[in-house]
Amino acid sequence: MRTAFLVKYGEIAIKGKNRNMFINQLRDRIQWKLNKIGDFTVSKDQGRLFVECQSENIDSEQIIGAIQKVFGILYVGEVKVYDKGDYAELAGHIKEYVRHNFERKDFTFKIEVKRADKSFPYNSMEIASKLGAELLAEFPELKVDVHQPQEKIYVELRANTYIYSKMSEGLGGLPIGCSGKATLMLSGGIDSPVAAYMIAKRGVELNAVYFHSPPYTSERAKDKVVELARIFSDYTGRLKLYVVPFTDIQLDIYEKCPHEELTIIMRRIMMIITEKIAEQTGSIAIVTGESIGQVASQTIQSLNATNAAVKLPVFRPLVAFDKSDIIKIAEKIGTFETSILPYEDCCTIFVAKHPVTKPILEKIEQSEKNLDGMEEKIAKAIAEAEVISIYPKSEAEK
Amino acid sequence: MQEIYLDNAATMPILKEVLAEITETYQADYANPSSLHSKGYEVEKKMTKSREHLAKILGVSASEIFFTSGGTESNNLAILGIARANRQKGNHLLTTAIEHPSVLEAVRHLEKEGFVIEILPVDPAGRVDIEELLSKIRPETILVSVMAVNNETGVMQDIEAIAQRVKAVRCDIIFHSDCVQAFGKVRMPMLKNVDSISLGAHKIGGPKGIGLFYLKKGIKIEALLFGGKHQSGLRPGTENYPAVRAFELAAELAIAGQQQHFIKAEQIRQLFLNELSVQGVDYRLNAPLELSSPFIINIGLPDIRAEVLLHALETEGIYISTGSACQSKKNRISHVIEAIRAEYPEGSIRLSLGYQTSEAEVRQTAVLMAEKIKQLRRFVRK
Repeated sequence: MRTAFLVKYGEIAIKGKNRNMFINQLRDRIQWKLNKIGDFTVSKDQGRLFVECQSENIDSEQIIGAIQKVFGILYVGEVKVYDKGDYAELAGHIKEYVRHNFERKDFTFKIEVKRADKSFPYNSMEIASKLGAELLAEFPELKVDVHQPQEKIYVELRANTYIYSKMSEGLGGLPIGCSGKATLMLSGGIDSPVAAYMIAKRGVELNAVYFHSPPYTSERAKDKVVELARIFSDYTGRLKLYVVPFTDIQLDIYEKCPHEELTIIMRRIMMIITEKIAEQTGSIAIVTGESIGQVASQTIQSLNATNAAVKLPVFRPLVAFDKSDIIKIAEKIGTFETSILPYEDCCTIFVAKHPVTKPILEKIEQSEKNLDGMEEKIAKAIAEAEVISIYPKSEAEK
Repeated sequence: MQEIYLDNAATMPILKEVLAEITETYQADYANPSSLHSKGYEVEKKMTKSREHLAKILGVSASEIFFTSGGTESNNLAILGIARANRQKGNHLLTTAIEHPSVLEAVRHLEKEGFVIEILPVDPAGRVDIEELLSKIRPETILVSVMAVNNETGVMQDIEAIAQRVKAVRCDIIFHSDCVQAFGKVRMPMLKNVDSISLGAHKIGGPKGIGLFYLKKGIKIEALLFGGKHQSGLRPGTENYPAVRAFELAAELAIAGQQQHFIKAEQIRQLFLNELSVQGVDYRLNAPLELSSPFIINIGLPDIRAEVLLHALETEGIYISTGSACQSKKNRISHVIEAIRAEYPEGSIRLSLGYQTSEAEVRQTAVLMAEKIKQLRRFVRK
């Protein structure tokens, strides 16, 4: 008997010709995640993945927790693997399984049998009822309940015999790397880390851009953004963070454009810079944490005006989310506590007291004509960007 | 780039002689003073000598001195320990709106334990009105806490007068004073009517992590920590002799040089403010000079966000502090700046001088500040 982990995947099982690509990607992602913990092999077996540990003394909870953070998984759980044998051996295995895996033996149960290997002399239903009877004989306090059992015990007859009961839910989604690459506009706030999580959940690989405006934003604010990226990289995997020096551009906009348009124009230039970084790094979309109506620069009119600055599609996964819903996800992925640290930026001088909420694109573009030399400034900012490699904490500790 | 450190009220760099002494003491006198063997006893004897020396400096007796981890612990011990131990006498506590958080938060914590707390406002100079304070005393009042020198504005209270007047109302009211920013900087109040004080070593060139709590003999107090019988059981925990020795030396040096340091600080403060005016900087004093410790300069600047200026100056190697943390959320203004109703709360900065601070340093700071302020004022929120 060996201990392994069974991974059931959802959506990707129904993909057509690309199915194998998705499954291989999922396998690689799990393998990658577990490499940080120990020596594991991940193998495919007819619609499931099996994770086996080569090292001794495994901590099942830690392994399941790590696998749970890989996108593309419906369920994951510990499974006992027995060599294939005849019915008598199978009956022995299930008794041993119940003896060792349940502290109390007074629950109601149901056995579900699946046979990929049809060489057994009984069908699945027959095996289930025979095994049930064996268990009742061995543990008299057990009761069968096929409708609402306290425990379901699964028996799968494949190249090996697998027995398992408890499964933990995965996050769903698609494995990272299946869906191309996008560039995230990351601030120190609550929303953008959640946007990163949601887009990555659809299998998208990410890199990120942060705009740094010393002395208006502090070194602590920058470190907070790095920390946020580190937290969500546990889900998205390693990424590169581009810290773009932005003070000169902001001051230039301040001096040359109408004050109530500062934020919109600033956002447009941030988009342009993000698009250029995206293009340089093989990304084919931009991701932001914007949500309709949250602030003046996130009205539909403002979103249109900022969108018009770029050609790449802009994904806004939180566009219809309330703040409270965003916070729930931020808490789940562990970014909330860091997001609310009070190293808020001092950029308020760049925010008009009465900013436009319904900008007219032509007027904005007209104002931007005053920004002579902006292309050079943008090129300089990108050239001077600091590139930080972000690793999940679990990797750093290893 | 030459560094100019003007955040000495937060912490002063450790003095060279003190660092040498603590290093040597850590190496030589490492034994636990509570150990029974002769090596421990040697350290215990030295510890007693240091305690006696510090007591002498403060004009109190050695048995009235307790070593703590610093000002915060001393203030916590004073407020929590004294209030709890004297509860049968009453449940009313009086303090001021500009106390250090280690006093204010301790007092607020006691409110949850059923104590009635009263926090007195201060006038725009940052001073407590003695008559108002006296009028708040009730039959149940057990403890009054007023700090000697405010850590943000530098404003000094007349502790001797306040303590005397409080005691005149009722001599069994216990009077505590946080003297962390006073000791070694300005003249310490006479402790005749003061029942307890807090001190911290790192504000006078000593190491961090060591502080002192003075408690007048006979005042009832409850411990906050429980353990061995060290320090009469009031403050258990292995006594940190090297730190105590370093504190003793720093205190000795501070007191020996106090007059000279004070005069120098006054001159440097004046020079700095003159230079700011020469440079054409528009500022408001957040505390009147004649009422303030010369080691702390707090000014308000119109159309400046204090933290932006702080970060702009740090790029020049100049380190100052703000009375306000720059956040777009509420609570960004410090409770002290709020309490004195400063004219420019968002633009309030603190420069605090150390014994090492030179005229050339503040002159250069004034010049660079003027330059940065000019740059920053081009960009104000419209």
